[in-house]
Amino acid sequence: MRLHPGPYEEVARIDIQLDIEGTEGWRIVRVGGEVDLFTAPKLKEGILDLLNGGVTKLVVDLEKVDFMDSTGLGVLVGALRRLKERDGTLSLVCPQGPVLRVLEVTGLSKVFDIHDTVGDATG
Amino acid sequence: MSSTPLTLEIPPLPAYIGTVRLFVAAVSRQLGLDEEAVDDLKVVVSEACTEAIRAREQAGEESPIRILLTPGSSTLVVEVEDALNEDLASGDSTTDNITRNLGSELIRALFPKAEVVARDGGLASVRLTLPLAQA
Repeated sequence: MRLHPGPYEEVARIDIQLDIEGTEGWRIVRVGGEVDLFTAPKLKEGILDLLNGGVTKLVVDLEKVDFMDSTGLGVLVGALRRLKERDGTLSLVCPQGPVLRVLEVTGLSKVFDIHDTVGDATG
Repeated sequence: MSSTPLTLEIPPLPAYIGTVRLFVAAVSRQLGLDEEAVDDLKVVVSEACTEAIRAREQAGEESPIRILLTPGSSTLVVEVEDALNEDLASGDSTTDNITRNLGSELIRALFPKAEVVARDGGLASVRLTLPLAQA
């Protein structure tokens, strides 16, 4: 089977949903869908907008992420670096599932502050 | 069971990586792989396709990327052609590109027996052999 190039909107059937909200000094980015080379720039843009706006306490909720590869991990590592430079905090919400597995096999589960719920992350 | 490869050929564009995952997941589930193995396979194939796209971008090429799934009587062989640059294929980690190192690390961690098959033009293919449950 051979797929031919087409307009992005025709082939971009997999995308991430990005919702941002705030609570008690924290900004929470809720991510859903699949994060890969195609969709990671959207996640990066969303997080960078917050960091450039002065946010220093960030939660990225990955509970509804069905898939993430190294491009998504790279975005999270970049955000962590930026926040540490300004004594900020990044917490991930990531219960059991394929995203937690890639965090574990890369050793990043020991680098990030990972919680089961947003309440735990901001508590 | 037939050993004829099931082949998907995609343009080297990020938008198609998700389609590759759907293809690989559907075939591997049909062949009886458990969900954890399917999830791992999706990650590795996604990484290989990501590298294949980057390699073509660097070389200024637009050649398609081929993904071949060859089911055998007891194994499934998965190959992503021209997926790695030589530096990654040889395990050279001199690049400071975090994401690319993570991708290479993910492939090695999830499939330690992944084969890297050198091809012409400084590129190498990634080949995985997965055991299938006997009927």
